[in-house]
Amino acid sequence: MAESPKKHEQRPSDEDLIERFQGGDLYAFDLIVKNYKEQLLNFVFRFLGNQEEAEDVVQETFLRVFRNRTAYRRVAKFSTWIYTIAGNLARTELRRRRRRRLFSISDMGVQDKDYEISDNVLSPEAHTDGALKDEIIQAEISRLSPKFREVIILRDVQELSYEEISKILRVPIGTVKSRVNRARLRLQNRLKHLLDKDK
Amino acid sequence: MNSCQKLSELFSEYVERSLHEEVRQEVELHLKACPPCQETVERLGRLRRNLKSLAAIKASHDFETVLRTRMRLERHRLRPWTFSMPLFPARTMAYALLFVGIIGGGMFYLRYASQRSPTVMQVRSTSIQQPSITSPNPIQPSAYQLYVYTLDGFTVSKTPGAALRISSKGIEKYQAMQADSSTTSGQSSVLEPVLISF
Repeated sequence: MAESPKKHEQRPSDEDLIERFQGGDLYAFDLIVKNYKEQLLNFVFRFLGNQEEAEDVVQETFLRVFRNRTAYRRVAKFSTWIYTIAGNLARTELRRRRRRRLFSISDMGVQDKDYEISDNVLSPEAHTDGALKDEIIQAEISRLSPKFREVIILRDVQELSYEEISKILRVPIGTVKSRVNRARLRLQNRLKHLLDKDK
Repeated sequence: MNSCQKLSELFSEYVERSLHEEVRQEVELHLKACPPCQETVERLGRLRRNLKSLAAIKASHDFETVLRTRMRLERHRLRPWTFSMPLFPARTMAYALLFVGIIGGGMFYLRYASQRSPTVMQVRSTSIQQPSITSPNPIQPSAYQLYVYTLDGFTVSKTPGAALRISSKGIEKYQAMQADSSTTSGQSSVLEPVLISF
């Protein structure tokens, strides 16, 4: 059977799309939105723990891309650029939220201390349902400090390489690896009750 | 720092199988001898699987609609003149404005400038009769008085109020009647030009 010609059509790279958009092709921007909205939303949602705020941040990310399209240079990966924008906006949102005192910060903490969620505390036993299990994990991710939270989301949820995470966060690869390790150790310790049931 | 703490720094890379062979062997040796560390490493593996399989969040159905609205508002904020008619490019708008300007200018000329033409028209006449007041309104005389202007006996304007406004039609009628009278009398009346101005 003859192969469909579509199989041979190459999907344009993100860098091609942004270049086309820089040249005035608005359809290319639509494709960028389609390609990235879900993965950015997942990244920001896992970071903020709130879908409405996450959508707002992701929309703002696309608006920044739209507004500053000429600032992008092909020397960098487009995904790195857009993740950096989203990450910065998510951290700004977190700081804003902190100012609004939706979260209570522990006495010792600024950077390295984890956050305490003020409202719902989930029972360790109540994790039979998959959605509830996700909620428990999300709650524990939210308790991590922002710098641990972002690396573990980028590495284990988004499955980005250490190199790309290093570029997104503008920290050395060694620092990224160290943070990922510490974040994982904290999470596995806090989620013992849940993870040991998976044995 | 004891060996558990020291080696725990390598656990992530161990579960990702990215350690050099000799370091990996060193970690494995420790794990065989240390059940708590062994458990930690096993949990790390399960944690990674759990994180990877977290349910993907879907964008709300109106995500792109809201984004487009925000983009339109953004464009309006940056360039307000392009927002109201985004479907029309600037060039089309320029041609449309030019067209409207030409039509409007023409209409203005026909409506006002042509009516003022008698002010520069040289009318052959010896006299312009002072306005006579007709149809006085007994209740509001000043508002309804009608003034009649005549040139050489021909009525060229009837106008309310005191202002002298002679229409081009009135002047043309005057000129035509004057031409007729000179043809019938067989002599051309040589009259001094009088510039009617007001």
